[in-house]
Amino acid sequence: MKVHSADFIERSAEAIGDAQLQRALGNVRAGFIGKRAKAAAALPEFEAIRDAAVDIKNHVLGHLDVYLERFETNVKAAGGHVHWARDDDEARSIILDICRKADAKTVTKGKSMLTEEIELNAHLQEHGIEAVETDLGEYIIQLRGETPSHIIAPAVHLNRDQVEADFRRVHSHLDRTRVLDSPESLLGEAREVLRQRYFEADVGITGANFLVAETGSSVIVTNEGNGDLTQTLPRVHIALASIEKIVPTMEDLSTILRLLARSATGQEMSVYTTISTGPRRDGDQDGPEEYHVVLLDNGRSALLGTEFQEVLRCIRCGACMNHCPVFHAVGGHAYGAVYPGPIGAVITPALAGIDKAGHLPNASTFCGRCESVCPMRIPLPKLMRQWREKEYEQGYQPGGMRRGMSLWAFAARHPRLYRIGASIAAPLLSRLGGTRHRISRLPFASGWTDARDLPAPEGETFMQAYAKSKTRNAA
Amino acid sequence: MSSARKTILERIGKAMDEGLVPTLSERQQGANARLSEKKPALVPASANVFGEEAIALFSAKAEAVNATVVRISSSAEIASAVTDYLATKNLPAKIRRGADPLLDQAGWESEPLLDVSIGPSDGSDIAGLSVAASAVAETGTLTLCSGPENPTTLNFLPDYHLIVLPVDRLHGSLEKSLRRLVDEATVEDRALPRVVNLVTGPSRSGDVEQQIVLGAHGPRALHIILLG
Amino acid sequence: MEDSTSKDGGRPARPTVGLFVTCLVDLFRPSVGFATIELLEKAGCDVAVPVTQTCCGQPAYNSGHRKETAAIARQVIAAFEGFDHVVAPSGSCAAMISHHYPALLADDPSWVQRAQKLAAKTHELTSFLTDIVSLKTVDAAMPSNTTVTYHDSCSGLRELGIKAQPRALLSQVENLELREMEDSEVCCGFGGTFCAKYPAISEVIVSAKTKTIAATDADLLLAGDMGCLMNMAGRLRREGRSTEVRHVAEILAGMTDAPPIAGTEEERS
Repeated sequence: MKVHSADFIERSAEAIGDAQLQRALGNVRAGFIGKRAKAAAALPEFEAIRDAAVDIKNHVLGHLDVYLERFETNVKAAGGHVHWARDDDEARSIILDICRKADAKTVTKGKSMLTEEIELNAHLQEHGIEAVETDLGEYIIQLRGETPSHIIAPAVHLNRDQVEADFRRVHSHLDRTRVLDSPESLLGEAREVLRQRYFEADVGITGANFLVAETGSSVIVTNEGNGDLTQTLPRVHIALASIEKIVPTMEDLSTILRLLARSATGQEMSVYTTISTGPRRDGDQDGPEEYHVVLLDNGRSALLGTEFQEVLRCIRCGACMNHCPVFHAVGGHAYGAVYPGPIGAVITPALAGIDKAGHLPNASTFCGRCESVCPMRIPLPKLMRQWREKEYEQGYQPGGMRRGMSLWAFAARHPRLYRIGASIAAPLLSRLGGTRHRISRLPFASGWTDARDLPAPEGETFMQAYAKSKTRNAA
Repeated sequence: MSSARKTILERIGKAMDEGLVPTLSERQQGANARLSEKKPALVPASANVFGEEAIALFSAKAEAVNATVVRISSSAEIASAVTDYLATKNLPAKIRRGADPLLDQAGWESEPLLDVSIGPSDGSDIAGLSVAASAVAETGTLTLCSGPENPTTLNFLPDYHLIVLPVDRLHGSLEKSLRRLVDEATVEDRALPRVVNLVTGPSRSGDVEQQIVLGAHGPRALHIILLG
Repeated sequence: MEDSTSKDGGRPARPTVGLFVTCLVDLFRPSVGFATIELLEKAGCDVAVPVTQTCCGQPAYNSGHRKETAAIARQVIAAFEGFDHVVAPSGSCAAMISHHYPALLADDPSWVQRAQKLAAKTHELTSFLTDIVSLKTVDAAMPSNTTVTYHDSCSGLRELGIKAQPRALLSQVENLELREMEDSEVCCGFGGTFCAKYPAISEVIVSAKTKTIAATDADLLLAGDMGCLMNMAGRLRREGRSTEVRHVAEILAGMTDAPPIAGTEEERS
C-alpha cells in the first residue's frame, strides 16, 4: 500500500486552497449528517443495537480462527473456493492467477476499498487485463486516474461540471451536443456505457461487507446494483475480503445491517444486500460458474490482542469521516492514504507504519464526534492517541514538538517553577496586548497569530491574584 | 497457498493464546454454541408485527423508498396486475419471467395481448417479473432466491422490476425472514441458493454531488404485487 | 471526608470544593477563576485552591507523552483527593481527570484506586451547579435585550454530556436571550496542540465556526472552556467582528467588569 501521508501538510494546504474541492466538500456535511441523525433517531433501539453489534464483533475477534475455518468449510461445501493471502502481494497474485485461468481480458469491479488497499487495478493492467470500475463514483475517479477520496462516496471531492468534462472527454463516441449537466443525465450516460462492459467481462470482482460463517456466504451492500451485475454476468466471481469481516450467523448479520446503512447514508437498508454462496447450481440459467473468496490478512492479525484491536470492528460505513471537521476542511486525498478520515488515521499507521503515517493520528482535534457516531463504538480518539504515544516512544515525533512538550511537562511537575514561569509570562503578554487586550502577531506563536489574534492575559495570574485577595481578606 | 492459510491461522491463534479467549477448545465451544443457538441479538419492537399490521408496515416502508405497491387477492389476477402496471407506465405489453410455479396460474390467458416469455434476461427486456421468497416488514425489503424459478438477471437488467409477494411470506423482522429462508433452503445439508438478493426499493446513486438519483445500474422502478 | 454530614447535629456541613483553576484560566483569565469561586460559594460550598496545581496534563497526554502525564496526574490526585468535590471551569480538564486519569494509571496498583476516587468526584462547573449541588437562583442580570449564543465545547459535550446544564443556568439570567447557532456541537478547531501543529486546517474550522456565530447576530458568545473561547475570540477579532466573548461563569456570576476576551469595552457594538 502506497502512503503519501508524509506530505500531509502540503496536501492539506493545497486542498484548502482548492475552491472547487471546498465547494464539493460542502456536500459531505449536507449529504450525510442530517440523514444519519434522522435515521438513528427513528429507531428507538439504535443505541442498544450498537452495543449488541459491538458484542458480536468482539466475540468474533475472540474466536476468529475458528470462524474462518468454519466459513471456509461451508464455502467449499457449496462448491466455492477459498484462497488465503498473507499480504497484498499474495492477494494480487491469487487474483491474477484466477483471471489468467479464466483467460480474462476484461474484469468488472464492484466497489471495494480492499482492492484499493492492494492496488489491484494497476496490477491487472500491468498484466494485460483491463479492470473496469462500475460503481458510478469509482467509475468517475477511474476516468480521472484518481483514488477514492471517501470510502463510500469515492467521488465526493468533485462537482458535476468536472464529471461532465470527464464524460465528454472519454465518451467521445457520443453526440457532442447532448445535454449532460445534471446528476440524472450523468448517471444515465454511465449506465449506458457500463451496460456493455458487464457483458464483455470475463471475471467480476467484488469486495465483501460481511462473511457469514454459518452458511459460507459473502455479502455485499450496495445501492446502484452494479455489484450485482458485476458478480452475476461474468463466468467467474471473485470476492476479496479481509479476515475480520466474519459474522457468525444470519442473526448477527441482521443486527449489524441495521446499523450499516443508517450510519452510512441514513437509509434503513441499502437498496441491495446480496448474500452469495458458491457458484451457479445445476439448473441455474445465470450466475457465475466459479465462485472464489480471497481472504486477506495484510496486517490485521497483528492487531489482534493489541491495544489497537478495536479498529477491527470497523464496518466501513464512513460515518467518522462524514462527521470529522478535519475531513470537512481538507477532504480525503490530503490524507495520502487509502482510508482517509479518523478510521484511516488509525488503520494507516497499522498497515504502513507510524514512521510513514505520523501526521494522520496527529491531525485530529480530538473533538470526539467520530466516536460518537461510530456504529461499532470504536474509540477513535483513544486509538489515535495511542499512535501518538507509539510515535513518541519510537522516536518519530518531530524534535521541536518532543522537546517543547517535555520541557512543558517538566514545568508542570514542578509547581513552584511553573508558577514563576506563569507569573513572568502573564504580565509580559498582557503588556503586548495593550489596550486592545489582544496580540496580532507573536513570532513564536505564528501558527496561532497567522489566523487569529491571541487574547492577552489580564495581567497577573489567577494564583497571584487569589493569593493577594486572601491576604486582603485576612487583613 | 496453503502455507498462507497456516500462517494466518497461526498468527490469529497466537494472538488468542496470548490473551483473548484462552484455548482453542474453548474457542471452538464458544463458536459452536453461537452457531447452533442462532440467537437474535436485539430485534426492534417495531419489527414485532403480524398479519395486516405487517402488510401495512411493509407497504409504507417500501413506498418510502420509492417502490409502488398494489394488492390482489388471487394469483389469477397477477397477469392483469402486470398489464395494468405496464400500461400506466406507457410500456409495451411485454414481460420476462422465471419458471416459478406460482406464476403458472397467473391468469395469463386473460391477457392475450401481453407477451410473456420465460427465462433469464439478456439485457434486452424492459420489464421483468419475479416472485419473492420472503419479505421484511420493518424495512420494506424483499428477498429473492436465485434459481430457474427466479433467475438473478431478472432482478437487475430490466428497467422495470415487478415482484409478486404472497403475503404469507412476509415477516416482521430481518432475522425471521433470513432464518426461515436458511432453514428451508439448507435441509439435508444443502447450501443456500447461489444468491439471495435483499431488495429495498429501486436502484439509486448519490455519487454526483450526493444527490440521490433513481435508476442506477439496476431497475429504475420497483413494483410490488402483494398477493393474498 | 466523603461524609457531608457533620458529627454533632446531622445538619449537612458545607461541602468542600477544591477548585481546579486550569492552566488557561490561571494564565489568561483569572476573572473566570473568581467567578467560579463566587458561584460555588453561592451554591453553599467551601472553596479552596490548592497551590500545588499546575495543569491537568492534557497537552502532554494528547502528544503521546504518557509517562510524563501520569506523573502530572499523580500530582493532581495528591493535591485534590482531600476534598468532597473537585470543580473545574472547563469540560476538557474535568474530563481529563474524570475519564482519562483512571485509564492512565490503570496499570499502577498504588494509584489506580486513588485516580478512580478522584474521578468520581470531579466535575465541570455548570454540571456541578445543576447536577450535584443545586444552585437555587442565579441572580445575575444583563443589560436589557442581551442576546447570547452558546458553543458546546467538545470534551464537555461528548465526554461529560454537558449540553442542557449551562442553558438551564443561563435561562435564569435576567434580560438574556439565548439564540442557538447552527452546528453548536461542531468543533471550533482549537484542539489543544492541534491548532499549533495544523494552523491552516484549524483556521478553516474556526472560520466556519465564526460564520455560524456571526449569523446569529448575538451580542455575546459564551462557552465553558477557555481554549475554545480564546480560539473563537481571536478569530472573531481578526475578522473584525464585534461579538463579545466570555466564559459562561462570568455571566452566571454577574462578574463582567473585566473586558471581554480579546476585546475592549470600547469595541462593543
